[in-house]
Amino acid sequence: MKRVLKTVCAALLLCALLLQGCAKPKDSARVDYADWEAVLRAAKGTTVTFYGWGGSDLINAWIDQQLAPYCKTVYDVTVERVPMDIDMILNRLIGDKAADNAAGGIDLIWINGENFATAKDSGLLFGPFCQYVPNYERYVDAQSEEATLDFGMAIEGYEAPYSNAQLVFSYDSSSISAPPTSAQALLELCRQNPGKFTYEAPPGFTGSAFVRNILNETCDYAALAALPEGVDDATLRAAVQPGMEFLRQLNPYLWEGGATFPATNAQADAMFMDGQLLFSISYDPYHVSSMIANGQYPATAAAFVFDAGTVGNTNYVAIADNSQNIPGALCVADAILSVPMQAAKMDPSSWGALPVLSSDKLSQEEKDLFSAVPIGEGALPQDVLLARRIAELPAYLVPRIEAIWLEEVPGK
Amino acid sequence: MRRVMLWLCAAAVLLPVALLALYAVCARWPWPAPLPQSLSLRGIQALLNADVRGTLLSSIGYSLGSALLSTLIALPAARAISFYNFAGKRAMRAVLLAPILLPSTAFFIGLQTLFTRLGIINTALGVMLAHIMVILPYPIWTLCDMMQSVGRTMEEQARTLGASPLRAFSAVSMPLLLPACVSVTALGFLISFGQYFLTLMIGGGRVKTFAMLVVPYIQSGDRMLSAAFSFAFILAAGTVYGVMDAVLRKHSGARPPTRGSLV
Amino acid sequence: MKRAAPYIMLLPVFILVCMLLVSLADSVLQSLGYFPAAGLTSFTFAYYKEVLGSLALRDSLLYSLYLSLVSALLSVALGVALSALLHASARAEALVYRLPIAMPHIVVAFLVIALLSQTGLLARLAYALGLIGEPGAFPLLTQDKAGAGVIAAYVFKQAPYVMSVVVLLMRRVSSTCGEAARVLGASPRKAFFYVTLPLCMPAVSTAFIIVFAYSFGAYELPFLLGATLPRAFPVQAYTEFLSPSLLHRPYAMVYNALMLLFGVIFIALYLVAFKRLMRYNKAVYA
Repeated sequence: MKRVLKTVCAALLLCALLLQGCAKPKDSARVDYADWEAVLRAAKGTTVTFYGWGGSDLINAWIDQQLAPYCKTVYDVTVERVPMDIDMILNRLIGDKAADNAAGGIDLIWINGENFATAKDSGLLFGPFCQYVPNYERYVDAQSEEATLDFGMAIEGYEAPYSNAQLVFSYDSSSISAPPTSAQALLELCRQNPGKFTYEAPPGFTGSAFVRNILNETCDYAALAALPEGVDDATLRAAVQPGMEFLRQLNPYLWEGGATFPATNAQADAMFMDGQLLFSISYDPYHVSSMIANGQYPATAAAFVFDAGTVGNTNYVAIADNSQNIPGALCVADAILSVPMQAAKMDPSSWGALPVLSSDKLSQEEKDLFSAVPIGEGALPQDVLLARRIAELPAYLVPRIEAIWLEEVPGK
Repeated sequence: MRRVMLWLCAAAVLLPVALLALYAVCARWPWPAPLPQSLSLRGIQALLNADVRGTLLSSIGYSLGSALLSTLIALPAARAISFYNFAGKRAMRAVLLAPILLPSTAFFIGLQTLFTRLGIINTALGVMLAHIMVILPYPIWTLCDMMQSVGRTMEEQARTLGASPLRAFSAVSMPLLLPACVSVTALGFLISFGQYFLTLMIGGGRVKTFAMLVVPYIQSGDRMLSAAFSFAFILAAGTVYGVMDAVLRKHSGARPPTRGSLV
Repeated sequence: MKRAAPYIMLLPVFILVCMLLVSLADSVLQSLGYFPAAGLTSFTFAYYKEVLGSLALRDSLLYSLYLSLVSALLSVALGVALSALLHASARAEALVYRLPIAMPHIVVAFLVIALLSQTGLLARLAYALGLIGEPGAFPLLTQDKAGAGVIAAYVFKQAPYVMSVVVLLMRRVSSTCGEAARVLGASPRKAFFYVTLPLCMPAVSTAFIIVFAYSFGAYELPFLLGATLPRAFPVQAYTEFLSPSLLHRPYAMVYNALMLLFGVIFIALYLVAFKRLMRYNKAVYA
């Protein structure tokens, strides 16, 4: 009797499996995306899943409390934020593709750089779609570098701008009088204060960006950026050699003599908060003001960038090729590019991201909306950042430079 | 000696938890201050969010479900392994170790593809099945241990006295096994409750569990939120575990021996 | 019916095991270069050759072996010591091993940094006692080449596990054979080292193998608490896996397949140890 019961249980489990397997997704009605009214009609009342990194309570709150209500009111679209790292998102999309799953659960994706290039080249993204989004047409300069190139890779309408980011350093004005204005000055300051600076070990995102920032001042950055995709190892090594040499010179004055590096930028930032380091690095331009606001940085903390500039990138939203709600995803992309959302996003108390709208395309009232945003304590104003912004190197060079760093810098 | 050791153990286990509680309300704690310099309720506020509560409750639901199902599957399996001889018994033992001893990425990725084909990707069913695969070795081992020490003699006596197999099992062996069942279910709950990577791979972020709220904060380095959520995590796991334990003690008097888990 | 009975009872387990094997096969196929989603459809050993030929592989393997060996030895020593001291009391045992088991590895990593880093609680204590002046003077215990932080974290998680496995057998052994030795005049110390502990060895060795294998294959702790170089083997595998390029996937799977191979060896070792455990168990009961 008991055995029968168990068999029934097992059979039930099996049936549940098979039944679920047979449930085929319903074919979404064909929508002419060029007809925005039709897109709005198709999107009305639907839910869009928005996948992206979920490690910041500020950004999470901005999406949940500002973007989502806006989408609900304007388009009657519900935004479901799904926190997931981009490499996992790509894995899911690849998994879907490997299993021929035409009905994915991922609609909108927060993405950029190498991940975007991979996703686009592997046919994981829907597009080109930017031309369907009214606010893209209205506010984005389609010829600008950030709308055409993402880490040197052609965008071709497969992702719409979301935010601008730029590398900034943080320091505590109560412990150093004047921050270094160049890589050389940084080296000098480290020489005077040995053991009080370090950076996240590449391929960590921020540490890797710091290394490229050093390359900007020590190598021929323009020539580096022009290297083609299949460039041979010797040429690339020669091109970055002065930078690696500089970093090796910096090593003895770093924390632990540059023998080891923090595994994550979070660890490095925590060392700065605890007062062990003089500087911290962030790829979030208003990091300092957010951290002062929530009490983790002292009120005397401030941001600085090198005179020769720091690397900046734009991050984007893309739509999964197997999304079941492309009209809804288009609406959310449109909402993201609206003036009220971009302005709200700029406020460091709700996120602190640089807007992506072209100022030439804004009316005076719209411009005023942006200039009225308080940027908070310690942060650098947008025009200072933009004036000292250098483009990222092509995405295909990034992992190779990281590998060279790993071979040539730690412990050397 | 024993007493000293006991205090040391208690300190080693409780000090970290106390430290978590402290970090959960501390905004700034610069070197070399022995105590935090400023406090903030940001972490607690984030925890009191309605979404967090919903996720916590459903997460407890998934984990209890996976743990209960694992115990139900393990019970007959442990009986078969303990009392029957069959071809492939040794292979079975080897395979049961796989979820613990093999690199998780190696089978998580394949599992994702398989579940996509079966159409249970992004569903609670899929996540629970995956959790069961990870939990299962533990209840099977423990119940095998228990069954071997309980033995079958008493049950066989009941059979000779005319009881049906089911009645013999439920009236004689089951009461002896019940404490171990509750205990392994509690352990299974802990294992499932702590799964992050697997839940993310199979649940695709759509099946939300509490671990998925905690881990991104630790990864991004927000110490206050990491600590607040970690503390809540341990508290929730401990409470559910403690309730099951209390029920057990009330009904059976003694706690049955159970192995722990590594996950 | 009688013959089919065990199979029916094991049916759900069989189904789950099949799923597991299918999943593993998938990654082995990818390691051999069969990955249609990235346009790779021909089988090749090229990826194996490349990975096996690299110097980094040897370094990371050795480093992982070192980390797992030291943390497993310490965990087993501490776990056995705890069982020896606490096996008589059920309450104490519960306190010791339940809380660490409820803590995910990543939370343990967070705590290790809060306690052992150069600005952690211990360093602050050392400062308060006047032992050190600045954070850099405190010995580096996280992100260090010796892996002190990784090992500490593993011992915190694993010693309770070892204890939970060993304490069961020890309780039985010491109440029977250990007591017998005492009655025959052995000192408590002698009874433990010459009777109880040797009889518990099978449980100790199985616990050792499991703990060793687990730390050999897990990436979280060495990633968060280990040094930049050398990289532990699973961290290397995980980094390859995270690489955004699809064409990199076969490399990641080669690492996984190698770990799989080690896993299989550990399982074989476990089974040998288990066989001995069963023999001893019978001896103890008889």
